[in-house]
Amino acid sequence: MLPTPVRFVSGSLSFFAVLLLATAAVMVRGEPGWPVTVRDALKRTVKIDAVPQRIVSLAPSNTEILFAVGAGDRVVGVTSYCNFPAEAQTRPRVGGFSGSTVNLEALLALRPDLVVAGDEYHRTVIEALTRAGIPTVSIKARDFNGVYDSILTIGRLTDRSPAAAAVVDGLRERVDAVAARVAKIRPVDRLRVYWEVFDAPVITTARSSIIGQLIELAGGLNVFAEIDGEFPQVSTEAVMARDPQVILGPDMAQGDPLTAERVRLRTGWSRIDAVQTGRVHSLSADLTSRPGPRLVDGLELVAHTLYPARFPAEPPR
Amino acid sequence: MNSSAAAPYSFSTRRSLGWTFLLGIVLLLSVLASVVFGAVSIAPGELVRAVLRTADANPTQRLVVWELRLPRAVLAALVGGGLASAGVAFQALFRNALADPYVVGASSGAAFGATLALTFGFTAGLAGLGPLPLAAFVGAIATVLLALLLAEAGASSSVTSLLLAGTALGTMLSAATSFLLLWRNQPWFQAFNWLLGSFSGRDWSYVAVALPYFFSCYAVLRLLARPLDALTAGDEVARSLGLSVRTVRLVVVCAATLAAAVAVAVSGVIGFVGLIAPHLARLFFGASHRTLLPASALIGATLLVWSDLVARTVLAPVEVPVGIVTAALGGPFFLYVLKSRGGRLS
Repeated sequence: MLPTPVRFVSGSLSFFAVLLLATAAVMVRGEPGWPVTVRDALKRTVKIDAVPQRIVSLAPSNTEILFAVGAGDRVVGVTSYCNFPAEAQTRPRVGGFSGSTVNLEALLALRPDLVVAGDEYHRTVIEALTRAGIPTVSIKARDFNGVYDSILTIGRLTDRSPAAAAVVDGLRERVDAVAARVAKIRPVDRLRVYWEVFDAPVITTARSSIIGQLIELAGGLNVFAEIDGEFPQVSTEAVMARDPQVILGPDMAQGDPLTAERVRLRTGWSRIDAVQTGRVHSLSADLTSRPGPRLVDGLELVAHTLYPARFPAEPPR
Repeated sequence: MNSSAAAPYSFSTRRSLGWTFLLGIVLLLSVLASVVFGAVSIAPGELVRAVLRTADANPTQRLVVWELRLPRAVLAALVGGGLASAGVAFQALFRNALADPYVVGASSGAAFGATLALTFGFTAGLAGLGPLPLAAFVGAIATVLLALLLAEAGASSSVTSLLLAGTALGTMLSAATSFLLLWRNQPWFQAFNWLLGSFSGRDWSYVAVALPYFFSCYAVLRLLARPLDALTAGDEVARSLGLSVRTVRLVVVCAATLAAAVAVAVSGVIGFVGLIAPHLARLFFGASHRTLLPASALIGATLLVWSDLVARTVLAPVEVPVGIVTAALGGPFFLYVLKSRGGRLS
């Protein structure tokens, strides 16, 4: 048997060692509710062990959601199209919009512990990242409910669920307010709307796209709502026959700007009601096509453009 | 010119003139059909008033008939005729029944030019052509000229080297075009529309631009009908007949390419018309270019007028690029040739 002082010292050391290990174990196992398992838009099951601290976003809508729920300070990488909020533009860029423009090496160099991607068009990127062992979640929204789900999912992924729920509640309130005012518009006062994605060839949008839904929610009657597909190419004849009262389009860099003067110059278009009354407007593409929190701004913008008397407040651009 | 010589003419001149006249009537009727039918149906009574531009005609329908449908039909006829003539010329030149107007790289050059204009936002137009058509035109011409230069620099000045040069350039330009489209993340629908061909939104200004080119190219080729006959027999035979093969070949390539380049400039890359029309004409009119050229041109014109009509009515109000319709015609046509004629094309 060892002498008593040695036994005492070795005993205490062992005790403290065990105590230290136990404390460490508790700290690593950490926060309640983690690890988190989600089922993403591509029906993949993704498990995230700890609260992500280095997040890369591969879509502008995801970036906006991340900042909206308060996880913006943990975003370490964005795409070249992520222009809102202004702070997002200070983060390093990892690519453009489509999967083929994402630079995997640059992405991996940022050492992310969560990547928030888009849907099918990012499939190759998602698979590559999963093989590299980085938790990647695909987010997709086709309508407002999808946007709410996206916000709540991202809130859960970043441990900001209460903030996310608050954002969603605020958005729901505003959408309901618009819907309530739209419900008061008599059917005969509803305006026929033609949304032009592109001028040559003539490309419009149907009901299934996000902007198609915005138009209907804002009380407009999309003249091409019933067509299959999201962005069909149509004949000029068809636009003339449907005689829209308002022509709207996204303000994009490509193509000629959409103004009444320009549209009037096109053969046959001068006979259309919207051109004769000058109701041709181009609206912010960012607000009307991104499935993120600002989609509600887009809805209010469309409503204000169509029915300025009922929606007088000019929404932020 | 003994008009009743038996071979190699399948018909006597007067008979073939009669059939050509008939083809012309068919073309006129097709253009009429193109005006009657469209994405929006117009009642017959109103249609007649719109066509005759009477005082009580509905102004919108008058516009649809005279400013939307008619220029499209006329342009389709011109482009179809131009492509068919160019197809006949290249098939004679290369002695290959599978040659089409784009075989020397015109379509790849046009696509590259158009994509350059799209990517870098060219704004300069010329002679009634906007920046995109102008760039496509320049691209097509430049590519073929380059192919000619490369072929001349080769050891043998046979047509094979021209074909090789055209194919090589075509492949490189295709790669460059794809790179440009991906690099700047362009909206694909405009490029797509261009590469598949479309008459959407083409008005009388396009007709005015295209008309002089197509008629002069056709005239040049028609004047060279007998040299073309000689060329199909082979370079040696042609030379022994006193033909200056190099000069004729150069003129033919230039005229045919000009027609193809203008066609691409005004309507994008429309395939198969320049391939099918000469074959159909050969089936009924024989191989003499004096009758083959006008017959092909008329058949090509009719074919494209109907293709455009189908393209804008089959899924109305959605418009399909006309190149898809012509491709849908081309496939079964070649299957038919394979099955019923044992693969013999003339």
